[in-house]
Amino acid sequence: MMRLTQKEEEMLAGRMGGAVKLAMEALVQMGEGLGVERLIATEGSHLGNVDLLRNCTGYTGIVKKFLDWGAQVRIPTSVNPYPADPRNPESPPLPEVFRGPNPLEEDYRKLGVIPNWTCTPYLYGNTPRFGQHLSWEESSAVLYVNSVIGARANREPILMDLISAIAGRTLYTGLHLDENRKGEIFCRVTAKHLQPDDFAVLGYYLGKVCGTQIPVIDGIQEKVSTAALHKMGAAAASTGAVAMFHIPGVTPEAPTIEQAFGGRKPPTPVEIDDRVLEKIKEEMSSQGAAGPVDIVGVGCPHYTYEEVFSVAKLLKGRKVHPGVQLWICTHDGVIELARQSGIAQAIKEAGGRLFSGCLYCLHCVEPYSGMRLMSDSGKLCYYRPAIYGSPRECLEAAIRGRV
Amino acid sequence: MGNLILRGRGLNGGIAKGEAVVTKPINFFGSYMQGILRGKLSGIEDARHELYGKSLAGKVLVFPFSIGSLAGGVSLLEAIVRGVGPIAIVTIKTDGVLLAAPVFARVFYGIEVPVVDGLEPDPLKVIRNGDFLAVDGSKGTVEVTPA
Repeated sequence: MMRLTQKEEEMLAGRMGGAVKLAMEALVQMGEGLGVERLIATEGSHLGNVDLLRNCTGYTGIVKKFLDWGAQVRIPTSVNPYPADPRNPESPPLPEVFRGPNPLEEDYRKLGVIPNWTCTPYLYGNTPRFGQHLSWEESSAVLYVNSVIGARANREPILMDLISAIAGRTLYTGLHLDENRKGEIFCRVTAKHLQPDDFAVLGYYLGKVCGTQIPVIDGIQEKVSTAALHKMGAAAASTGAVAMFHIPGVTPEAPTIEQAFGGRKPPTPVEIDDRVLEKIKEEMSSQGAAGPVDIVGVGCPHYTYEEVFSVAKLLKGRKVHPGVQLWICTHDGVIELARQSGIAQAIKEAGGRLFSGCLYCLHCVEPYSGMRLMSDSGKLCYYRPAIYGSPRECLEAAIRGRV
Repeated sequence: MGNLILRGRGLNGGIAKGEAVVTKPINFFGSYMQGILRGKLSGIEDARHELYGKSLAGKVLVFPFSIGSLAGGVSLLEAIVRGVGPIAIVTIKTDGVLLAAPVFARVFYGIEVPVVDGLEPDPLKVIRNGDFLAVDGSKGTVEVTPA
């Protein structure tokens, strides 16, 4: 049996309303089934994929039941992106399955969810701090907040994110506990040609070699950017179930290699050299390494302002090939900044589409699922046939019309 | 001759009886997403899975564990709510993605899909496709009547 605090017993008994009671019933049964001893108070939630859930009557029915009870999220709760933004003329046409209003958008507003519609909520609208306990869905975001920020979150299944937002509690297990946050596998990057652009490739390999283990990654000399780290993480969370990494000297729970391993002696490292990364690049390009492309899609996870800025710089004075669509995905925050700074206009003039949306959702379904896609995203290159390229290679292909 | 009884841990209560489908790990999101998006969910649509094109409706699912996306639980819940999911689950290793579906089906829809794991002897060794199973999710038992 789970041990509950007096407050939690009252929540379960319905003293804080029917919505909290239902959420607690589900939480407690999940905890008992999984052998978890207690709950932990959480300070934030992030909800999983919106439009992929629009026809999930099981899910939308639960949201409706919560609203019928007058539910409100009790902690800052944000939400993953919609596929594209029809209000923005730059947005690509929506696939048929995503057309028409999604009732979840209105329901989430009624629940008090932060309408940031992004897979990088830690950069826009829902920024955790070190040590906070969270209940987040979106595997790439979970990996980022654990590793780079030092907040505490498990890879929460969709449904658990929602009830945690309403109860303000989640299961006290996994990465919420100190002892489960230490390094479990040692990776040493010896590649001489690791470019900041290629962190998605490194992440793709990390997921495969680590599985569910926490890697300690040594040998990254770069002053790594936020963008490089979240690209690496999104890839590692796709090819594996990695929920946290340490980079000694960079991430907050790893001042040194030894501390990253919790004082234990580091195991024999897995060497990651140029040859390994070259082979992974080939594997990521399952649609081949040459030929024409239909779509060049970047921004999965959502591009940061700096990444959008570098796209505009590379496109300056050039034109996207008429046979190619260049998609640059981000969230409304970056779009607004890009409009103010003028780079949105520059991208538009070059023939690119800068929009708030989700490359992953768009490319899951017809007509886009069948097209030849080039991307710098390890996540996309894992989930569908694609051609991998660094951001620079992607933009060159968009201009030439082929790889 | 009595039937074989496997004993383990009940994770979600209820009693269900039906035919066994014994299979390898399933990615429920990959299996059900396209059907959910079309609004016509029925069978497993993961072309890489041996159950491709088959339905779990009315069956007792016997398999080692679920794999893949964190949207797997909500996908399996959808199959259960629409009546095309398994009526009971016999598994080796249960994670939150798998358990969420039957737990949310019970708490929010009053649908009982018993879940049992940690069984002795190993269900993957002693249960065969088509065996008739009686699963008790409160006691954590599975009674096997061989086909």
